[in-house]
Amino acid sequence: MTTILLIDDDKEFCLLLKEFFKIEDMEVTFAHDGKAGIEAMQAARHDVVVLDIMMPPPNGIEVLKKVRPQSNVPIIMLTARGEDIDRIVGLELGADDYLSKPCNPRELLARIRAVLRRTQLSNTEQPEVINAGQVTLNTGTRTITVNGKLIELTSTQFSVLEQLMRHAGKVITKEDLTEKVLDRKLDSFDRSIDMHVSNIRKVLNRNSEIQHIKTIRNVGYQFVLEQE
Amino acid sequence: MFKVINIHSLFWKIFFAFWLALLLIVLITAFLTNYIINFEDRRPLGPVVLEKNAARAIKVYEEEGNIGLRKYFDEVHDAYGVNEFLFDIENNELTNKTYPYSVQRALVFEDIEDNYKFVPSPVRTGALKYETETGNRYIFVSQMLTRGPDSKNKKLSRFGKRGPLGPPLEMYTLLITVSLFVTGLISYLLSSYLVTPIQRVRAATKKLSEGDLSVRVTSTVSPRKDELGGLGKDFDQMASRLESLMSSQQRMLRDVSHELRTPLARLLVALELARTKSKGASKNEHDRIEYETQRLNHLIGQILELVRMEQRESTLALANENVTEIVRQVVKDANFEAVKQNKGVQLIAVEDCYLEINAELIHSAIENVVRNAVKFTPKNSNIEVSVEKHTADKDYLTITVRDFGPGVPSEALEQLFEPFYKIRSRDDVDSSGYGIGLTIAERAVRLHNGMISAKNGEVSGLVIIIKLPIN
Repeated sequence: MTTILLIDDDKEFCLLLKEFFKIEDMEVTFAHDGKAGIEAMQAARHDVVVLDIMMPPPNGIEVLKKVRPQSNVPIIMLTARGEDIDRIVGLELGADDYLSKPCNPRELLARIRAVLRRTQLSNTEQPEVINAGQVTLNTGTRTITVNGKLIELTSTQFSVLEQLMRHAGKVITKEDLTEKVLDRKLDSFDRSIDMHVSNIRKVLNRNSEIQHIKTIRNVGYQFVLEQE
Repeated sequence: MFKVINIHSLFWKIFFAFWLALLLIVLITAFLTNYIINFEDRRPLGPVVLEKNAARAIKVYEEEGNIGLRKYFDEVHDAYGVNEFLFDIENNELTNKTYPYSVQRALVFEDIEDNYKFVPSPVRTGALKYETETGNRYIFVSQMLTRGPDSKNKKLSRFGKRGPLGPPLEMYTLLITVSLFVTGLISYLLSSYLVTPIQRVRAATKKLSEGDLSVRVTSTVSPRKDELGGLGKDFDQMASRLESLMSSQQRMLRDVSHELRTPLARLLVALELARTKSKGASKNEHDRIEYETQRLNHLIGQILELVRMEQRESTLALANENVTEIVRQVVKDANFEAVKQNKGVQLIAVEDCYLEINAELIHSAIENVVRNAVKFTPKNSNIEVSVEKHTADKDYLTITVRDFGPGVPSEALEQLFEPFYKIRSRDDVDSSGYGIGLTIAERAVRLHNGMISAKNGEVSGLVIIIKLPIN
């Protein structure tokens, strides 16, 4: 059974969601403030965390800041509609995806399923090892090494890098990346993929002197095979 | 201080009126005073003039005797055309000059008390009894001859100038120049004193009406203790009241919208539960509830976007973006949806243009305008969008959106961009909007120092024009 940790200060909303997810055969536990949320995340492993940004302090952003370095658990943020700054900061801090609240619960379910599919991919498919440049990616163990050194990425970042490396040497558009990784259409001002790529770059650069991912302006990204 | 001299401005009106008044007062006073003094003192044969001339003649007589006096009388005669005579108290002419009968007549005073006598004809003659400090008594007679003075011999260096008429002409030029300058200066100072605070309050009012509610005149106008200072203080009070009203209104709008989201979020989950549990029964009703909930959600989102935009001015993140590309994107998306209603959106003229903008805001502005147009244009008509660079007086990028709907009554064109403004009379069109889309567009464009305006098309429909400055 899938376990979901829901961190939101609206108790009734949590109860309703719990009932909704129960029908989908998912189990929801809640934390009603940031502190309880952090404790819950440290106490037990959840399949996915749904984190409301708009909470009395510590708010969702602070929770994310605290938790992300310790854990790779998939996190979906709930942001106020239009509060782009929350969205951007959240993605920068390593959230996997976001959704504006109030949201349709079916939409939330779809996002959760997309995230779960990424983390649970290894169980269903044949494990594969992809090599490109100085990076080696193993879809079975979901591990990445750069110059032989093991690096840590979140599951969404892993999937983005996997897509880029599968198409190494070719340009992959933002639309394709969004559809393949996040399982949805690219919106006009959706910077999610850019944020994920920027986070991956940061990690890669820490371990390699080569720029592996090239930005093709207004189109998308390319994993560079050989430096010209 | 006053870049354009506007003759109709209060400043110049006060200035000129006051200047003119002051100048007239100064000049009239000067001339009147002069005239009155002259009337008594400077009258050629009046007692004042006569007394002075008598003193001079007596001085000459007592110092130089009758020969000296005779010579002096000749000089006076040549210079001024005046015949003077000096008699002792027994009526004997002291220079032994012969004198006409008219002089003799002047010598006879009607009353023993009289000291002065004037005989107007046949020759104007004045006579004066004069007593020196030492007690000698004389009678001095002066007769104005009809012919003018002999101009060749005008100067009497020995006695200085003895002009019969007050100060010379240069004095008047000086008087006029000085009074022009002094009255001008006073008028200017008075004008500025009165008008400057009015101008300041006016400038502040203009700023206020343009939406800058933080404007105050305290430092410049209010320290005055007069009515204008009072006006300044009242203005400040009004501005702070407006500001606090506006901000509390915005705060309320924002808080209400935020608070509405909580029940809305629950409502959406509850609705989904109801849907699942009813297993397809009442599907239409559930769909309707969902549709209305989404609309409510959309409205709340728009209100919040608007409120945020009001507060965003200082934190606008700009980047160099291709505006035309944004327009293309909006047209493509809008057309995709319009086709379902047998309508279309067309780009009829395009020019690429990169500007420093916030892409999201500009996108939202254009999208709101185009969506509004799609709503009102009739079936089987195409909305026309064009993007053109304009280099008239200032460089502008003009985005024009034209629909072929019923248009807007001309008196409503101005109000079109006000929040929640809707034209009620049109029941033939879908009224699903809230009248907030165009307001968002207007705010977004204004944040970019641009302009948005509306006009009715020549034949039909509404034309919305967005102008963005090219810097």
